[in-house]
Amino acid sequence: MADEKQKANPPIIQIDKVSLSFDNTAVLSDVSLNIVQGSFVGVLGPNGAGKSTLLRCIYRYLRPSSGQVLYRDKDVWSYSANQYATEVAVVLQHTPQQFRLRVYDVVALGLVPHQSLFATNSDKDKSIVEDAIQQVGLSHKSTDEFESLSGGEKQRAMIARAIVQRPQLLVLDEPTSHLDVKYQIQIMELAKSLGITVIASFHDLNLASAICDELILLDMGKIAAKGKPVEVITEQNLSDVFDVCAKVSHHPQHKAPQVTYFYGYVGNSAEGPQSHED
Amino acid sequence: MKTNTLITILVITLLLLLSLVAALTIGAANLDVADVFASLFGLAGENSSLTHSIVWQLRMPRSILAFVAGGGLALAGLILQTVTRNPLADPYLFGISSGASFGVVVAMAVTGVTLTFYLSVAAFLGALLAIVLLLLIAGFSRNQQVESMLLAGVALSFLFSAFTSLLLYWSDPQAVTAILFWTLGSFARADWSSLWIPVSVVLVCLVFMLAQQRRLTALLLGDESAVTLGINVSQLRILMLLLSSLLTASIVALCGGIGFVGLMIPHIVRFFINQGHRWSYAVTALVGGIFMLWVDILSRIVLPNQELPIGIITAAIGSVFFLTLLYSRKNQSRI
Repeated sequence: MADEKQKANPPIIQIDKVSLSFDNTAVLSDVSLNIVQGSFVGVLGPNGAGKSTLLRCIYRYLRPSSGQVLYRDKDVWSYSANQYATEVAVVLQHTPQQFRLRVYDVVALGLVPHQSLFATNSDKDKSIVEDAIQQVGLSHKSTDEFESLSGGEKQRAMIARAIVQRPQLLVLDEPTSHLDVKYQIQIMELAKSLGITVIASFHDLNLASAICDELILLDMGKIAAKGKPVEVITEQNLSDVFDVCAKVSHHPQHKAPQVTYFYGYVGNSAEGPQSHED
Repeated sequence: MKTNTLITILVITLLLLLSLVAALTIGAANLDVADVFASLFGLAGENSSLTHSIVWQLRMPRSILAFVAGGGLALAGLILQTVTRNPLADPYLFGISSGASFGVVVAMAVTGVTLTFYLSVAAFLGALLAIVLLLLIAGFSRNQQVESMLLAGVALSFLFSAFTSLLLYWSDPQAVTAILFWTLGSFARADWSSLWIPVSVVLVCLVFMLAQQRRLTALLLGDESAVTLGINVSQLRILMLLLSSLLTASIVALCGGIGFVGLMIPHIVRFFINQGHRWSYAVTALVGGIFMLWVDILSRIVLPNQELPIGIITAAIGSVFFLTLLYSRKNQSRI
């Protein structure tokens, strides 16, 4: 079944032996993987594992020291910045700004790669922007100041901006950190509802397990595991990569792996918590 | 939204016309509005030759220069605030003004010339020197471009001030007075023959900036987000810094140091038109121009028989404005 899907859908992103180092410190080493068109892929790993760096290589912000990233069989750096922006949209963690932009204006920035220098918004552009705002449920706030929104609403506005870009691939770099649980779920389900390929980095393993078709687990710049959530979220991987003791069961609703952590790290020896059988 | 925009533009156009007529009418010689209109439209009868030459030879070029300087400085301030994402950025923060003063002081102290034309050239060269140094320092650092720009600007500003003070210390008192007067700013040097320089520079820069308006707004989301929208961020930022510097240099060269306008006007305009709006840049320039027309009128009538330097008025209004802003914010946060 999985193989059939793989054949039916060509890879949209191919990462081929990508390594990247800053000041002689390797951040990514020899990472290779394919991302199938139409899938929802989660990138996991502890802080400093190279999640953001890998995503930055994909969205053409960092150039690998060696190896290459292909988008639809062509090196991402062979596209012009503008061309690539019409194919790939990126939502980063919210960045603060203080220039009183309205929600509508922020969302309309998704039009930038599609327009020439002096172009004004046509009626079609306006309806694209309004539809995107409606899709994320912010129509009633479209003339509000962006700064006045709550954290979850800001991220929804940024996703609306990405929708306006009309991308084939959406990259989300920890878009739900600092958000309330409700919004974490809402943002990811919203991204999934778009029906395009999505690559997102996660901190919350259970959220990743529930949402993603495929997971990539990074550890110190290398791929520690990849595959279906059941293949990646295992007690062994959690202990090897995240250095925590946990039990993996099945979620009662969607049957994907469900992580339960054990506690008692402080006061015990450096080896971690005592075995839970005790 | 459409009607609001229309009303804003209509109000500003009316204000502009009103301010221009006021600027032509009010001054040391108080003219009659009817006479001003008569000479404006070539309907002047006899004994109006004095009015006619006051309007056309003195006040018209001066008012145009004031309008263009105000608009240009406000626009440069808005652009610099946008590309550095720092609402306190203004053309003077980047050492442009102190570079220009340095140029003037060198010209006066070394060559002894006091002709307006040569001083303007010297000011322009000094400002240009500051820009080139700034770009050499900040242009190469791609990752922390904003931080290096702001720090390098402040450092250059102090460096040029130090050189200026050193030269002033060695100069004779007469030169010191002349330099001081120059740095305080004035539109008295305006005449038809030199007006085309700032006017054309401001117009060209305005066109370039309007062309990039949407990309500039995207910079407000942060460098990385702007890159993912297909924008070459460091190139755009350097281009905009260069344009704002040229703008400022050409204005400073003719008018001397006029602070606070580039800082204050964009803040005021943001109260009634948001920066993502298509007309916000044009409105900022227009409001800056109108503001400067009234500052110039003030400078001519505050003291009898003498003009108050422009820089003193803008600095006084500017500091009161920011203190008011601070006070009203404090009150707001208490509620």
